[in-house]
Amino acid sequence: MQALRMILRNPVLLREARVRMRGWRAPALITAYTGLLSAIAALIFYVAVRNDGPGVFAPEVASIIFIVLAVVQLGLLVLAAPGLTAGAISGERERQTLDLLLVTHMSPIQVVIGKLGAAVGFALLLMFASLPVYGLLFLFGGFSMYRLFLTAVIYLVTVLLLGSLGLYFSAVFKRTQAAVVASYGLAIGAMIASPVLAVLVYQVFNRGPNWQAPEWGVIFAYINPLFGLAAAAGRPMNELIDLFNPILDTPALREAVWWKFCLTALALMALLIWRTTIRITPLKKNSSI
Amino acid sequence: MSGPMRLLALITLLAAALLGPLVTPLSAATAGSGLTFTLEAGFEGRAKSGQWIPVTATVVNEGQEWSGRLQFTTVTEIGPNRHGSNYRFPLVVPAGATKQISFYMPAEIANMPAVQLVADDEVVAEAVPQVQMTWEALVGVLGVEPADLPTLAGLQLGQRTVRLIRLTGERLPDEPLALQSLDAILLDRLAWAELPAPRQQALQTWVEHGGTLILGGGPEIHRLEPLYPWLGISAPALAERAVTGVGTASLITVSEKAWLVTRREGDSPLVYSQPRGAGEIHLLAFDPALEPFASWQGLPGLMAQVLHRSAELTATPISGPPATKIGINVGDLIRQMPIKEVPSTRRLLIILGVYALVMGPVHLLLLRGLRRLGWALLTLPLLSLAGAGTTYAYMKANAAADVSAISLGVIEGQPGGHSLAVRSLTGFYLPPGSSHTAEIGGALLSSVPALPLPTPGIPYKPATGRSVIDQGRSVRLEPLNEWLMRSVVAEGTQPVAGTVDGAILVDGQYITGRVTNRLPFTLKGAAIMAGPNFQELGDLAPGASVDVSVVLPAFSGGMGWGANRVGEVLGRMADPGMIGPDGLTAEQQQRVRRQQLAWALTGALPWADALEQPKVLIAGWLETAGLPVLIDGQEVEPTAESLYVQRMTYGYSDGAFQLSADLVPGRLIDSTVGTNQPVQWGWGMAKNMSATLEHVVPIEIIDRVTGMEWRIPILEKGPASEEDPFQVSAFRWRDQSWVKQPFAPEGFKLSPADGFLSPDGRVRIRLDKLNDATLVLGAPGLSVSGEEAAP
Repeated sequence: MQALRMILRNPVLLREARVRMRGWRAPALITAYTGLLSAIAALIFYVAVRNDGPGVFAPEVASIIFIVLAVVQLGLLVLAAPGLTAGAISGERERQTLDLLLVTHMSPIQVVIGKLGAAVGFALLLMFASLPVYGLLFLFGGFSMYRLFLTAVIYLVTVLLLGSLGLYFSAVFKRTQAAVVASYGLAIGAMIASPVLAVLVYQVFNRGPNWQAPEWGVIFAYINPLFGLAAAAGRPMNELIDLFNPILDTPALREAVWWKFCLTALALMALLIWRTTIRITPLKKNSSI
Repeated sequence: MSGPMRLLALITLLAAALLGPLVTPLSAATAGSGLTFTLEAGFEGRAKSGQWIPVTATVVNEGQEWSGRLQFTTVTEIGPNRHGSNYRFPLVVPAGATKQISFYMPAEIANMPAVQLVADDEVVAEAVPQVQMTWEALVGVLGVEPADLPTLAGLQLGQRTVRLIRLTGERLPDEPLALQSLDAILLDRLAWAELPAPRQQALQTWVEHGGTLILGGGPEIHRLEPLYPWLGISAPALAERAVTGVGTASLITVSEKAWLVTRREGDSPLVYSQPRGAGEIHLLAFDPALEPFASWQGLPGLMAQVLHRSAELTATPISGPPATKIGINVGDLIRQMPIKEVPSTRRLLIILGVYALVMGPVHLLLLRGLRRLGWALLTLPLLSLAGAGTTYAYMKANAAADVSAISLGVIEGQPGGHSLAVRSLTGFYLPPGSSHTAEIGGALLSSVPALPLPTPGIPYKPATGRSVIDQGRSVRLEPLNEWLMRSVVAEGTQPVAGTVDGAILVDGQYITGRVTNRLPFTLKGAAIMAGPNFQELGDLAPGASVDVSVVLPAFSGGMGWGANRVGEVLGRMADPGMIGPDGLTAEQQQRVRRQQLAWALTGALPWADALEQPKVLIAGWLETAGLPVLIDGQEVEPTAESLYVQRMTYGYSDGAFQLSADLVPGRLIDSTVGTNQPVQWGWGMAKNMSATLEHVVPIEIIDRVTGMEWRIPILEKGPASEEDPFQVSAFRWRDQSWVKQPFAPEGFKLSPADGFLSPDGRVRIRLDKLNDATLVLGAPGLSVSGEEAAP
């Protein structure tokens, strides 16, 4: 509780959040974000019940709406999160205000947490704002709040991970541009590479009918938010997680991917925050300042 | 034994060994736990292809008390989907007891699955029911033994042979649908009151929906006394009477006028007949199992007349096809039914668009105006929550339940009947992973629950799952891995709360009268049909009446009177009309759906084709499933659309009546080129050919016909036909002989009094072509005239 109070009263967090909310940019982004998701959901809904004939109306279309919304939302968050943090420290450095920040009573970890919280908070606000669009699913029935909650957990963890990644590169590189490129390069690269590597593992190590897939291959599932999302969402997306059937040969193991992804991501996040804090600590010998 | 005889005996033994298992109705299995388990399937091991198969399992327990279940499992694979259906019947057999359990197997199971005794999920014993599918005319005998009716066994009815089936009060199915395999049932010397009530009800319902019931009379008629009110008779008089060629026997006399009578000239009536709903009742004046009738040589001929109609029906006694047919016909259409009126896309877009704007610029401007921009940290999450709550509430309010039911079916009403026959396909949409119990109230589930082919255009993966059917009445829909509808055909009867009632008369060239909807539902898009002619009646609210006047068809042109006409007429009426630039309106969508449904569902009505007599039909749409649908024990209102069809009885206007020639169409029942075909305009006769035609006079007027006239147009004739093109003979039923008739293009007269009209309304004409010319003939016509007033 004390830690949460400390985070919420973090001056960096409060300042960043207030500044962000004062301009037109944040409201415009929220409108564009919810508008885009709404348009996609309405388009699928329209196709399902369009009035150009005695069309087939199937409730399973809710699955499709959910899959599309979930994947698009994840994509948008993946695109937004590193961008929100990649300039957080390098920008201070470019404005030559980082030194001032570090000579305040705040510790480097508080600065890092404040920067991360401000950026992640906004991403979470976007996610929160999209909740009404998901309401469309309840028109069809069959979706549990539990699954929606799990997907929200995956989004939160993903935003924290990618936000930490952006923050780390922001601390590593002096220029924001370089930090942004590195953050997106690694985030998107990992998203694309992990399923490809998973397939490669399967193909390269495949030794015929009695073959046992190498268990380390599953690491690609635990570092990719898409697999975490697929496991958290359950049936509508479980075909994606079925990719790991040779290794995760029971439904329980496949279901467990979501929390194992969360643990892996939180561990990586802690590592990145730790490394970022070290990077900006003035007493650190190898510090870049 | 000589060599050839030994060989013959060996072949006979081999044949018996090979064929024996095919015809034996019993199959048995013995379990190690002291249980002996035997199965008896069908009626003495026989059943009609595609019908319900009654199965009786007998379990003898010589060990300790046993409890478990009896089950059989079927697996259906449709496209990529695989679905198992597990039928279960709970069973407890005390120590030393013998227990019988009767159940029914769905029609579409081609290879009979093994029936198993299961305890604690372990199979204790199993046996495969042995059933031989037959085209014989199966006549159930209840009350006396088939051996008491020696002259009836093996009776030939056209191409079919009569097989007498022994029925008992205990073993008679208590489900009308399970009697489908029987062409007729003969009750003789049966104490009606001793028949269990469910079986009484099953028999009566079976008759009203198409079954043929023959009741033995004679000195034991009093045993049927409780049945008199249903028969509409008072106690018949019983007297010793002399019957030509038979001798003296105890005969009953029915005084009520509503019965058609079959008698020999100068003798007392031998058979009293009456249509009942879609079926028939024949009350014999005598006891067929009692001398002198038991050994009377004329009995087979008389019974052949009685059984003529039911034996000719290719349809089931209870109207409709096997469950598979409706499942196939309607399976795809059921997915086109809207589960619920969903909000329009535009409305959804407006709601979400307003929300997006409120969250963005509107919110910002408001806080700026209030000079409280800092509140955004709190107000934005609150607004999101409020938006989410509002949309969830809106969607939930407009949502279908997690499990949705959709029902399409055929409801057949009978004039004056006591129940509606309902055959419906009900589909259940369940979210993946969920499980519910569904029941169609009072109905048997006559097909295994089936998965449809996946919807084109929507990504899918093969669905697998299973259902558990409890005693053929309720189904536990176990989880599927995909969003898919599972559908099951249910068949049952519903006590009728009304019917479509009317006084319809044939008056000259018109069928006129007034039709009243006494059903508790609005009959939508209704029509009254007579052959190819029809009159739209619009929507008939409960209690609403409408005057009808339909022109009697001049000539049906071979289009028939039956189910196809219903589909054609209703389909034409449901024409959606011009499609607007925005596509089909909701009403047009419904019309298109009904157009398709009309064809698909009327394919489930073969009875209308099977009956040759002209019929006036009322058809329309009911937005009800006909049978209650229960999910987890709670009755739900499914999205439903049912085709309602009812045959109307009609009388004849006061004074003389004259049926048009084409009202009594001819049918080619025997010729050198083909048989049993409706005779159409422009049919030909090649050289040296003979043909026998049959006309069937409407049963309602048979006993009032006083004159008949037969004619046939000659459309073309070859050069060698200077003389009469053919010789015409009419069949005299009284002495079973052909009587040559003078041929004239304008026709010739026949008198019913001379025996040319059979008791069941048939007139037979034979054409013998004597020269080499080829003739092209028009449709033969039979005019019928009478003078009696309508009843």
